[in-house]
Amino acid sequence: MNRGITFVVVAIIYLVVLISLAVIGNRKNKGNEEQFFLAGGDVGTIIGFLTFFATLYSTFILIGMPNFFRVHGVGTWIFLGVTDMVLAVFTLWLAMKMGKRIASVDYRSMSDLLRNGFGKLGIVVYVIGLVIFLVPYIAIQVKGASGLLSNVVPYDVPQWVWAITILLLMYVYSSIGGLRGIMYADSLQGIMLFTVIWIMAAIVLMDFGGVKELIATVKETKPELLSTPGPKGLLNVQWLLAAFISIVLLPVSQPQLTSRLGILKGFNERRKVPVLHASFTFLLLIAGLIIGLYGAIAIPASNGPEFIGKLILEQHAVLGAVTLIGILAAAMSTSDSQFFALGSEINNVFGSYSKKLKLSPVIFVKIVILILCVASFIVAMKSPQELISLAINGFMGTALMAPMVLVSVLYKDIDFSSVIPIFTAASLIVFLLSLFGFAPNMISGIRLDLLLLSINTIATIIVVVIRSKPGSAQSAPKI
Amino acid sequence: MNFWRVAGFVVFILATLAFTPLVIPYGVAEPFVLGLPRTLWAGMLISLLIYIVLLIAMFTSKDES
Repeated sequence: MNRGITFVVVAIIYLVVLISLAVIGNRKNKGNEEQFFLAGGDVGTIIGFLTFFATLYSTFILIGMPNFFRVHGVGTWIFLGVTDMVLAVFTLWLAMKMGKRIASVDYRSMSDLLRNGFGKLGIVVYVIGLVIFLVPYIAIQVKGASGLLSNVVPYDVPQWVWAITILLLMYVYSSIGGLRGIMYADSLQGIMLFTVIWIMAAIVLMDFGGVKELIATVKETKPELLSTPGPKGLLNVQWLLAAFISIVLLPVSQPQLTSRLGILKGFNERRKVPVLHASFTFLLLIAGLIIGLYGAIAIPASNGPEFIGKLILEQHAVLGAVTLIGILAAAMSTSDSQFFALGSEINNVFGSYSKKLKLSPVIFVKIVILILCVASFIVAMKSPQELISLAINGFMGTALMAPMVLVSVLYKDIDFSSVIPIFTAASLIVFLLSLFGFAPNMISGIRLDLLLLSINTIATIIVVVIRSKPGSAQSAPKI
Repeated sequence: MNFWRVAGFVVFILATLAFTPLVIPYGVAEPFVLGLPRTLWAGMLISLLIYIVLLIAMFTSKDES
């Protein structure tokens, strides 16, 4: 069987399973609104882990991560390995706090917690921040995956057709199955992602005889990959620190991750999911390291998609096809959850308008997701440099909102007035200005994003200490 | 003392260590341990230690809700 037919067969099997999972999710929802938005709030350990894993790891983990090892060397382990273990510890702590906080409120999305402490202003800043940084992020994922598919799939299908296919598929199964359908699809996608990357790593290891032999070859041919800051000098302390902070804060700065912690069934699920996540992440990164270092020796390429494309063409036709579908799955597993979370948050802000239009929240969210899909398609196809910059810096952009979101998780029934949302909005505006070249990105040798996050965090702590101290008119129990 | 404060402190120290020249010395790959360059084995060791803190946290954490 040639590569083309193999791809079509694997793609059809994948599509059938994907849509079946969405239909199963739909049946379990039984037309219930809470089931559609929160999957009943009783997600078990395995589905909880797989959906968190697949949602966190986008196409970056299949394309970007091995390519990072290939281009920048072993310092990438600090950027991802150390960072992801700290992320898991933070996730466990946050999951415990979320469990307690959710129990005290009628929870539908993160906006419900923000409304409690920051009112409408807090929610508006949060939602606008999410749209500004997440839509370009989704768009470059769609662009990356569709570009790779159009180059590697042995049929003459233009990139825009692949982009529409990815977005349409996401829209269909999200609309059918709601959050439960998305989580089932994530589970399938998480398993595919992990399996594919390890099969490729195992093939490389068999070729070389082991990691030791692989590194010995790198030492002979490209020794600069074995130390920091790497051949291009990227992995310096400030860069690593900024990446560390923006990644560790993801569980609180990205609503699709925070909400997943909020809907776990109980205490056992909340404590087991982060540990499972850390365990599989460790293994995933080892696979990425092996593939990346192999690429540095054997696969010359100018960028990540080209490198992975060449690697796929080296594999057996079935493995190549499964890898391509794995990349498609990785792009969808993060973007579907981001769309759904954005839709839920926007519904929380503009819910009153949907009532005036006599639209149910479910229909309203489906319309919002459709609009976001169209916006992402336009951005993906046009993608001017400024928007690419927004996407690349998306994690740091949303991290600037993390202090505000964290306060909303930790404290209830305290009016933090408008100071924190105003500080958050100001830091977002300054950060955006720097991305568009209207403000410097370094001040006195320190990265602007690190400075903004520090100022924002200090301001937030001061407001919280003043407002929540015993005896204050506003004081109320901490969660 | 609150367990999370201790765990947070230990993780903070370990993570900070990862950004020092002990783990990421400029342009230095030696010493190699088990065939792995310094940044890699030291980074993996720190990741493993943080993972152990995570395991302890999992087993000792109490239901707060």
